[in-house]
This record gives sequence, C-alpha cells and structure tokens, in this order.
Amino acid sequence: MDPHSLAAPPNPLGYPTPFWFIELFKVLGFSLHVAPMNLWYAGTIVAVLLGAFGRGHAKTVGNHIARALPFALAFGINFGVIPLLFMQVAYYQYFYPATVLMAWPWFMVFWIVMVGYFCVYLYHLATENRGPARFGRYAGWLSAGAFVVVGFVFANALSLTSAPGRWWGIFRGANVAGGATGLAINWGDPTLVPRWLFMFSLAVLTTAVFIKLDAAYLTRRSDDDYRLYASRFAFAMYSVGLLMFIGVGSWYIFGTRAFAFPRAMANPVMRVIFPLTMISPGAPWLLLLIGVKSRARLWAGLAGIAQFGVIALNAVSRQWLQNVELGHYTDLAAKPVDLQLSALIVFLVLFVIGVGLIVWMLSKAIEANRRAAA
Amino acid sequence: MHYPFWYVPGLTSPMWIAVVAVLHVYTAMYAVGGSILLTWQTRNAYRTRDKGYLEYLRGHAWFFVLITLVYSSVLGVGIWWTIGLASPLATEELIHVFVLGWAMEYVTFILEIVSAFMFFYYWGKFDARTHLRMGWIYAGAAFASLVIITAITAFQLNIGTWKPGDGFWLAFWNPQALPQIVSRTGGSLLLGALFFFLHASVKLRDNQRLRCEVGQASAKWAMLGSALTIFGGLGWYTNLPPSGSAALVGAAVLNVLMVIIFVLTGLTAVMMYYGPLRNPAWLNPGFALLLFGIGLAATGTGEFIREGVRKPYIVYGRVLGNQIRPDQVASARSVGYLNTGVWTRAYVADRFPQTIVAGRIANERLLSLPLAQRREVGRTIFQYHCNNCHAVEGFSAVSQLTRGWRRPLIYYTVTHLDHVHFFMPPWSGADAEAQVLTDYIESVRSPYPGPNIDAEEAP
Repeated sequence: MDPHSLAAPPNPLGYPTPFWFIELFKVLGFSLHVAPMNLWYAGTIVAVLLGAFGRGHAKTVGNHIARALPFALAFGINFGVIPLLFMQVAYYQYFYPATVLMAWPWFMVFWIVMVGYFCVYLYHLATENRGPARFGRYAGWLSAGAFVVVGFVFANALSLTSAPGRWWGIFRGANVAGGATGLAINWGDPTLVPRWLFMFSLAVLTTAVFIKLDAAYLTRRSDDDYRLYASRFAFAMYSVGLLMFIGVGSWYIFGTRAFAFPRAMANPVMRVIFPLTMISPGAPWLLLLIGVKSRARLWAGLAGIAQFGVIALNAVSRQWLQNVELGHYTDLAAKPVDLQLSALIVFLVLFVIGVGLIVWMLSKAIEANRRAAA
Repeated sequence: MHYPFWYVPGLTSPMWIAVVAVLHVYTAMYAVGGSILLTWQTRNAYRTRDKGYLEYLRGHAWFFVLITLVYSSVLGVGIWWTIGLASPLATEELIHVFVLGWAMEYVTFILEIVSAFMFFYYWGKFDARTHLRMGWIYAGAAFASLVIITAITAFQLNIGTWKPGDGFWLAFWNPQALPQIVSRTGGSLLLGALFFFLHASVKLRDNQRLRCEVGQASAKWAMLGSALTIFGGLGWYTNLPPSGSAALVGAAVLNVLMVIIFVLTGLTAVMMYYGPLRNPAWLNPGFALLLFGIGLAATGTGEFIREGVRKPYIVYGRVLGNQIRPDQVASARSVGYLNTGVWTRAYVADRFPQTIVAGRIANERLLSLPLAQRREVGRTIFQYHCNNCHAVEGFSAVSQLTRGWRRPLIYYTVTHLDHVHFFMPPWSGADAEAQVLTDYIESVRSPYPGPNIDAEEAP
C-alpha cells in the first residue's frame, strides 16, 4: 500500500498562524515541557532507588527529588499542552492515524500519568513521615514504573507518526472489518528503542543538573557537607548519563537514521545546530565539574541554563528530523495560511501578562522566603 | 473517515469522550467555583481574624490542590487524547479554528498552577493581602479558562453565521457562547459549594459553629449559582439550532432528562435555602452527600443533553456524526462511501481486490460477492458510518434497534436515515453499499420477541 494514499486530505481551513509560528511554539513548548518532564521520568526512579537503598546524604538526595516531583508534574503536564496543540494543527494528517492505530496504549497514557501523579504525592508524604511508609514505598515504585511505560508509549506514538510507511502493515494485523482495534505497538521500527532510551538518557542528565540546583538554591546554606556530596553525586550521575547519551544517541542517529547527519550538513542552519546538539551536554558537564571544586552557586545556575540549552537544541534537532522524515510525504510549510491576526495578538498579550503575573508571584515568594530565613 | 476508526466493541469509541468529559467537568467546575468560594471565605476569615476558620480553609486548600491539579488537570489533558482518537476529523476542524483560543487557555492553566501552589504552600508566609491576591489570580485564571473552553464547545452546538474565512472571534462569540458561559459559571458556583458542604461536614463534624459558618457562606454563592444555571439554561434553550430544539422536544429521553436537570437544580436550590442557608445546623455528612449526589447528577445530565442535542453533527454544520463533512455527502453517494474514505478504500482494495477497477472500488461489483463477503463489506461500512453512535451489541445496539425488522425496512431505513430520524446523518453511500450494509444488519439483528400477532409482518 502506498503510504501517500493513507494520509487524510489537507484541512481546507488552512493554518491559523504562519507555519514558522507553529514550529516556534511547538519547539518552545516542547522544551518547557521536557525540562520538568525529565525530572519525573528519570528522577522518580533515582529518588525511589536512593530512598530504598541509599544511606545518609544519598537518601537525602532522593528525598529532595521526591519533594520536587509534584511540582515538576504539575508544570510538565501543562507545558506539554502547547506542543500537543501545535502538533495537531500542522501534523494532524500523520499524528491521528498513528495514534488511532495504537489507540489503547495512547488512551491509557493519561490514566497512567494520573496514577503515577497520585503515587508521587503518596511517596513524597511518606518520605516526610506524613504518610504510611510501606504504602509510600510501593507507591514510589509504581509511579517510577508508570512514567517509564508512558515514555515508551510516547516513543511509539511519535516514531509511528514519522513513519507512514509502517502504518499499513500494522493496520493489517490489528483491525476488525477495517476498524482499528487500537492494540498495535510500533514493534519492529528500528528507531523505537533508541528513541525511547535517548529521551531517558536526556532525563538522566537533567535530573543530575536538578540535584546540583537543588543543593545550591533549595538547601540550607549551612549544610555544606550535604551540598558537597550532592555536587559530587550530580557530577557522577551526569557523567554516567553522558555516556548513555553518547551511546544511545549514536545508535539512534548513525544506526537508524543514517541520512540525518549528511542531510543536516547540507542545510546551512542545521550544519551548525545538529553538531552543536550532539556536543552540547559537554557544557553542563564542565560546569558541574567546576561546581564540585567551587562552592559558588553561580556554577549551578549556569549548569541549569546550559542544560536548558541542551534540551532546546535537542528540541530543534528533533523538529528538523521530524520534518525531514515527513518531508517524503508532504511539504508542511507549503500549506495555506488563513491568519487569525487579532486572536494571535490577544494570545501574545495574554502570554506577556501571564509571564508578568508569574514573575510577580515568584518575587513575592522569594520575598517571603527571605523574610522567613531572616 | 479520513482516519482509521477506533473500534471499541460494546461501547463505541466516542462514548469514551463522554466518560472522560463528565469525570473531568465535575472537578473542572469545582476549580472555578471552589476557587471563588475558597478565596472569598479566606478573606472573611482574615477579616474576622478567626484562626480556626483559617486552619480549616488551609486544609480545604490542600484538598483543592490535590483534586484540581492532579485529577482535574490530567483529565483535562485526557480529553485531548480522547477526542483525537475517537473523533479525529472534528478535532482537526476545531483546532484549525481555535488553536489560538486553546493557547490562551494554556496561559490560564499555568497561572492556575503557580497561584494554586502559592496560595497553599505559602499559607501563613504571605501577608493577608498578598495571599488573597494569589487566590483571586487563581479564580480569575480559572474563570477565564471556563470562558474560553465553553465558547469553543458551544461552537460545536451552534456555529451561528460563521463560515470559513470569518476568523476566530465570530466563531468564538457564537450564539451559544454567552448562555453556556452563564450556566457553567452558575454550575461551577453550585458545585463548588457542594464540595465545600461535603468537605466541611466531614472535617468539621465536631465544630458546629464553624461548620455552620462555612455552610452559610457557601450557600449564598450556591443560590447565585442556581439562579445563573437556570437563567443560562433558558438562554441555551432559546439559542439552540433547529435540529437541537427538535431533538429536545422529540426525543423522549432528552426531554425527560431536560425536566430532570431543571427539577434537580431547582430542588438543590430549595434544599440549600432551607438547609445550609436558613438552618446551617442541618449540615451533616449524609445531607451533604445527598446534595452532592444531586449536584453531580444534574451536572452529568446537563453534559449528556448538551452532547445529545448536537446530533446529527459533531461540529454543527461542519462535521457530521459519521465523520464526514456535509459537502461530501453528495459525492459519497455518487462514488461510494468506501471510496470517499482513505482507509476504507485501502482496506477494501486489500481485502477484496476483485472489486477494484482502475484503483477504485466498483460499487456494483460488491453485489456480486458471495453473501458472507457482502456482509463483511457491510460490516466495514457499519464501522465507519454507524459505529460512532451504535455498537452492534451494547450501547445503542443496532441489533436491538432493528429487532424483528425485515429486509425492506432495514434497507429503507439505511437509505433514509435522516428521514426516519432527523438527528441521524444522511445516508452517504452508493446504493450497492446500502444493500451490503443491509446484508450485514440483517445478519446481526435480534429476532422478533415471541410470536408475532401479525403473521405477514413476521420476519
């Protein structure tokens, strides 16, 4: 079956904003989503492992991650709304068939996240002796497993979105009289496992940077011993994550997407961004190393900014790769635009007001913290 | 039908939308109404310097954060998951019109999260004024979110004069938007109060003074909520499109439910007046649970009616219940329903290559297939044309709806769907397809129950 013939006809209404705007907010939203998402993706496992087997400061590292998880989930889930929206505006012809073919696993995502989210609260309360310890431990393991499963389902959905050539083979084995059973998984796609592990390795890196940030900014300044331990732990964890990142990233890009690097080199913008994406984790690694030697919080802050840069570069490269893969089937940028200018202006104004209000609220919180510390 | 249809036996996939939406709306409305009540009462407690009251409200804020940020926000995202799976064409249509509206709503979500965390976690650390501002920011953002999403879902019911090219705002301020915003605001205040009653009746069992105070303060807002719900509901009714009004009057289940919702809302208002407002000491867990149950029943019923009266459309005038656009009906009748759909055409070409001529399904060839295969093709048509609303067995089962029908009646019904029931989409296929669909329905219909008095009419 010709995969071209399986894509739905383009929507006659056209894009409500220019294509670049859709791409910009998709990438920006995805980056904002990935930062906290990484923390619950790899961080929950780290927290639970350290909670179960760690002693002394190691256990504290785990508890500090657990303390942050409810917030990471709240922000990460909602930041995920924007890329999901813009994904559906521009990529609907590919996103919907892919997710319908694996409807049940995809449908289960938010139920699993909800269970994982409640369990995170239970685990966090248990670590602070505000809930039953045993129950909390089970909840912790459950949430850690839940988030890994969700990551796997996402890797399936997005790899299948970019591979219309696989749809028909999957559909043939999973339909009832032409209606999709929704029980398919994108097994057999060589990109599936490295894609899944790649995001996990990125999550390990982000979690390591979080540990450093937490020790620098959210831990009592007097607790020097712990801060030194956390700095070393973060550096060691980042180093392990970096090895994973290099190994899995090479497998993903050079092993399953051999066309990607040469194509990137032929593109004047990606010629810079693509290699930069590959080497970018070197910057936070170096800053964490300096941060072990130096007590200044500045290095932690810089490592945090650098890690967000790593995430943003990854988001840009992934977006470019997705466009190249779907470029075999359609030119997404060539579709008509029916600009909703006034709505766009209202959105941007609201966005600025929203950011302003958030800054104001955070400033009040910092003020209150300072008052409490004094 | 431009997308593969998700086959969910017994339930039908679009019913998942109803399930997730109803579960979400209970707490989403609490997020709006509850935040107003919570901030208002916190203001009262600060003014009277009532430490016990403040301590109770702090406990309620924790409950509020858990319910709204964990359960409600994840289910809200879950609706996105579900509509994309069960109604991809309608979702595609809505998102092309309203993506910037949803993006605005996203700003309100983030504001809600930050302000909710600030309101709860910085309780006692902020001065009263700053603390209350956090609460009002949450309430404002939640209300803005209600306005945006209600206007978008209202568009599904009545697009008014909007047509492609008319842009965002005409679609947003559709005839149903304002009435639904009013009624949902009322419902939110009502439901917010019911959550407060339930929580206070359990947590303040041993503190009658405070329980009465919380009950009375919440009941005032609930009375306002009841009035807004009824007022907005009347506006909703008068702004229904013709098919919606006709469905409400003509469909027994809908007009019964309509009466139920007005009676339940009125009853809740009366119970609230004589209970928590005039006799606050009556408020105990049993009474609160009864009120809560009635409130949930009224809200759930309202959601069901809202969905029910939209038929035969998913998006009024834009996307029909059988997942095609109204302007495709004529061509689908001419070239065939299976040929019109991307996945249906591919499936039939793969499964029954003998029906293909020059890359397309030759409809007349369907009739020359053996009966078992004709039924199989008919089942494919059923999956895409009918399964949005009818399971074979289970929800709105076609086997039961056609119980005892003879072939001519089935065929006539298939080819005159919108004549037999105006709330069904028109038949959108070729005659040969109607015949193979009839073959299939004949094979699944249930037998006439017991002996048929009119022997000639017996199947």
